[in-house]
Amino acid sequence: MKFKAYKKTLILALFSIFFSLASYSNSSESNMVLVKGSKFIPPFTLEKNFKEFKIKSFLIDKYPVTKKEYLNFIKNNPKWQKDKIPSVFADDSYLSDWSNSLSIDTKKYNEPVTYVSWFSAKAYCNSKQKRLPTTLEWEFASYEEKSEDLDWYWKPQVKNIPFVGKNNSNSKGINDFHNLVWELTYDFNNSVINEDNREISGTIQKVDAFCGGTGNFKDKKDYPAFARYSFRSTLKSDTTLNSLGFRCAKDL
Amino acid sequence: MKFKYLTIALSMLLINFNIPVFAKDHNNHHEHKEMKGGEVTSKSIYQLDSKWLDQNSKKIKLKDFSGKPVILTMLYTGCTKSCPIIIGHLKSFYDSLSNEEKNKVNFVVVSFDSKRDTPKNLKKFTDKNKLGKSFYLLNGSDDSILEIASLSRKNLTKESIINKEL
Repeated sequence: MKFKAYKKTLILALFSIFFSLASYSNSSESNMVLVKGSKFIPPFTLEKNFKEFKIKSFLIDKYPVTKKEYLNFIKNNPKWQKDKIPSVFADDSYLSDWSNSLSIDTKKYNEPVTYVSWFSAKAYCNSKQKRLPTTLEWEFASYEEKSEDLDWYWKPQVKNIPFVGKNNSNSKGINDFHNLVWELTYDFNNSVINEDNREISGTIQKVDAFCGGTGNFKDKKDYPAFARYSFRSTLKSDTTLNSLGFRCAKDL
Repeated sequence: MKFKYLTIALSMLLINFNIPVFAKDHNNHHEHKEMKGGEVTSKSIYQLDSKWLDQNSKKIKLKDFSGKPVILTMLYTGCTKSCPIIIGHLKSFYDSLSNEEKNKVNFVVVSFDSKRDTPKNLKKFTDKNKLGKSFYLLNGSDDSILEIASLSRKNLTKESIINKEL
């Protein structure tokens, strides 16, 4: 009897998992990818020792948010149009590549939206019942065992940004984490890499005293990760840039 | 005379937190008129629409503080290192004011710890520290807290601040 009840629950649980997965693929989350939770050591830590984080499964947009998608958002949420947005939420260059507050060259529709701030990106995601991914989630979802061609980080392209989908999807089925635009994360201001980060563990190590600046990186040769963490630490919540976009995430 | 010190202390705190000034828009240097309560400039932190509870479980929005100078600080009551010093300074400053002056300024203390610093705990903290009636200790969601922290340009998250000390 006890076993029967257990079996019943198990079947029910399996069914609910099946249906919830099925619904993810045909609802508004069709352009989101399920990232299965796992243990992960991020490339950078503020602590002395690296900590393993347990990441819960989540959904993340397959592509960065496009200009067209953002246009639809501001049509429905006038507060975030460039002539209406309170200046506390975005600096002067907010959407500065838009010809006017509600139009953009249709040829650019599939470009990732840039010149957006943390506040505006957060509002966009919230309007879709989503959120910005945390830095940890972003780093985890974009992480690849095999190193990729990451030339972009040496010379980030800030003009004539290509359409989203320029890059093949990674092993998790997600595109454009690298080599398209920088991306905002929810807790972008979590890690602090200052001008002189040699004393992060309290003492200046002989070797670090010369090269320094890398703080506690898992792999000191991982320049792309260093570039990302440093870049994030320069952002403010109202910063907008030509090469700065975002994508959204969602809890399961 | 005391008010002179208040202004100095106020500007020091605001600079320290780098928060867009509450009552005046700094971009309008030529227009130095005082704001009336309720008016909110484009650059003001009052644009944040977040909802808070104070130590008396009263619903509050940041905008409700407009019209009076505000001294804002962020801490959490379980913090044992810098927070007691911060609250001590604020309290001795408040206590040095005359009754009339006390009514002209608000002390807003935003807790980082949305979970533990419930209004009830904030009330205990208020009583324990004998904080006067111009003190508002606020409890809000993690997201609301992060918004204020991000405007203050402090690199703060729960992970980096609270967990370290507890």
